[in-house]
Amino acid sequence: MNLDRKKVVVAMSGGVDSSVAALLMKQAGHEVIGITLKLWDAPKDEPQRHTSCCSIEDITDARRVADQIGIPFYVVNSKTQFREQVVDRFVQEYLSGRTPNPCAMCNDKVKFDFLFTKAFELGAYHIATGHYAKKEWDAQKSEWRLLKGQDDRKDQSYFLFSLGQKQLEHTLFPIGGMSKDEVRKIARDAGLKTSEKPDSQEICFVPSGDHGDFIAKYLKGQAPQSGEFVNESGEVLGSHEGIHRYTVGQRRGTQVAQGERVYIKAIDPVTNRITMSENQALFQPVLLANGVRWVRPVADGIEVTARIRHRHEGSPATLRLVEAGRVRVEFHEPQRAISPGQAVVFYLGEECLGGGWIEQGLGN
Amino acid sequence: MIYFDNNSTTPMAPEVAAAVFEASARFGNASSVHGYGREARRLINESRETIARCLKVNEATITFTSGGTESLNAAMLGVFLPLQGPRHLIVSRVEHSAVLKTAEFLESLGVEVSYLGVDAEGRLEADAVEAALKPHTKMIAVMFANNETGNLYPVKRIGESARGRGIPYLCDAVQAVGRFEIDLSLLPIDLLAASAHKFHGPKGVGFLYGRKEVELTPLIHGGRQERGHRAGTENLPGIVGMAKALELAQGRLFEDLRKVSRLRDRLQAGLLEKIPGIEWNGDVEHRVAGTLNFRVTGVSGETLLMNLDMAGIAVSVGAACDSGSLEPSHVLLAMGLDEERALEGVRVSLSRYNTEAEVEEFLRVFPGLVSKIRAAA
Repeated sequence: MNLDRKKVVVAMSGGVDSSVAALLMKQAGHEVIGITLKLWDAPKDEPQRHTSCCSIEDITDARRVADQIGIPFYVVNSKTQFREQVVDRFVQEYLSGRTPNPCAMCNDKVKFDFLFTKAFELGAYHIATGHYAKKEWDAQKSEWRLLKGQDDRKDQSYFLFSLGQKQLEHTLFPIGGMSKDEVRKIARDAGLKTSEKPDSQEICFVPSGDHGDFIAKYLKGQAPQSGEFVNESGEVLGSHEGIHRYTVGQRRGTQVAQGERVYIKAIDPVTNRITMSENQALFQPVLLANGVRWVRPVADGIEVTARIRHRHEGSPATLRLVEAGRVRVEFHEPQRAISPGQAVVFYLGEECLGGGWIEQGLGN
Repeated sequence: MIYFDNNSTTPMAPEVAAAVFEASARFGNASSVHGYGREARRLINESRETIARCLKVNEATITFTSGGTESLNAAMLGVFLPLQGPRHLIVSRVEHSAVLKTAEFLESLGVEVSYLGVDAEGRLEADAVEAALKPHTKMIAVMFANNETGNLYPVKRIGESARGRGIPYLCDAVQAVGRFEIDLSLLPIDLLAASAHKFHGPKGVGFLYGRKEVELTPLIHGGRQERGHRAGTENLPGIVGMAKALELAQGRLFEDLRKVSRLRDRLQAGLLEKIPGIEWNGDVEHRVAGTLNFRVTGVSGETLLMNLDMAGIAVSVGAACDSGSLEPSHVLLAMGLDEERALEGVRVSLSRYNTEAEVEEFLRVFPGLVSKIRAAA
């Protein structure tokens, strides 16, 4: 394969981060090609106030920024893959009583694969994204390391754990060493149309933030029926509105009249029951993860900091490599609400070592 | 830069651009009584006469519109909106979306619609139209030439069976007018839609031919322009430009046809020789001169388009949705290709302004791009 190191495909979402990534690549002298992945069509009845990603507005913004920078721009249709690999699985996970992480799923199964395919077919050696993450060449070991973004509050390495050596070799993170403020300033100074655009907060295909409603609509009346809340001894406490609406660790929305505060401890799709417990019972010292991917190989028994959700600061743990693709994570302190379906991602200081999908929490 | 996407739109002929520019200075409103108005009126009348002469019809049958889409809407809605009771419409599945979406809209108003399929080469026999007829069929719409494959449809036979039953036959001739000999004194077509920018005229202007026997309810209400068929101050520069473009095209029709056919055949032979696994979409025996639709097995058309674009060559793929991303072509799907195959379809469409040198350049660049893409897979 004859790839041109000067050529870069920049994944442009229509947000400020990827706009600046494209600008920086162009300023660095690359031959830049802007691509927006069209992942999803918002349903026609989606209220306009929830602008979702892949909306016409976002794509128009990306296109206008490409015009401003002076690069060719294309919209690539990847709706089928996104629906099958992300949305269908997202729904299926909730129906199985799990809590999926669609952004990590998308990076793992859709976004990067698609971008690499396009980039290579266009003869480009690199893709660049607007992620807050960095990569670093370890000359001694001759391998890439994936690092957290400079801006701690914006770090997105958690979502990138599935990138391997080959992918890192071909990926650039132009804004990984910057703060959000710096990125906005660059956009403003260059007069980019997206400089003041607010950050996206929600899951791109659930702009309202209500995944329960999304699933109910998506399944067109085939969503799970209401069932029972029970306590740990199996006594019925009340009724729930369908297991797809709940998440482990959640307190609000359970409509259970109890003297003490109760939380969701487990969701059983077979019995359609949701087990409630007091907060203390949500803590577990161990988890099992599958589908584990390593940025670079690690040794059994390594001490790491493990993050069990994006907004989890991370906690010290020992990794036991059970078998290929599967690890047992032994935390030094029990962790609250280990949620099957979420990604667990392993760090050594600033370095992201890899991660996998939480199968179950153990102990307690 | 090489422009091989003439079924999307064509470059304006220099003679047309000059006529449009000149007409832009005649700012009078054709409805005004004074000299400025009379001047505008004269130019519009002359333009209508020119177009009528090219198609061999009476000028009263020509209504100026904003283009092909409006002409088709005006014909379909104009026939169906006033009708009550059981109403039936026959369209082919390979019509332009201007027809298909209007048919869907009519369906939502209670019109019964039959969508006629095509075979693997995109062919549709006149017998299939006849077989779909119902006692309450009120319109048949089958295009002259397909925009994606270039296929020609049996317009004469379809028209004859419609005429025999007194059913209006609407022909979308957007890809044919100015590129193909169309003599409406001989063809049994009742309604015909055309668009100027497909024959080297300006954008935003077209016409609808309608025999006076066909009663049309107007779509746009207001002043009495276009004999009450289409309200709104006339697009004078556009109309003058369209007439100029059609006159020009008609005058060199056979010369252009020969040239464009020769270029297309050279392109096809060259591709066949140089690209293993190339296949043709459409009816190779019966198609308009400049269109070549092919697929390179295992190579996405979108990727080819992007690579060609960056090499300065413009072609087209599938159907662009509102975001600009590509959907599989409904025409190729109707021909029985699966989604993946349909997304491999690439359309090259030529015009009189393309040259042999451009075709050779395309044949020089294209095989390298295909190998590069195949190597990346």
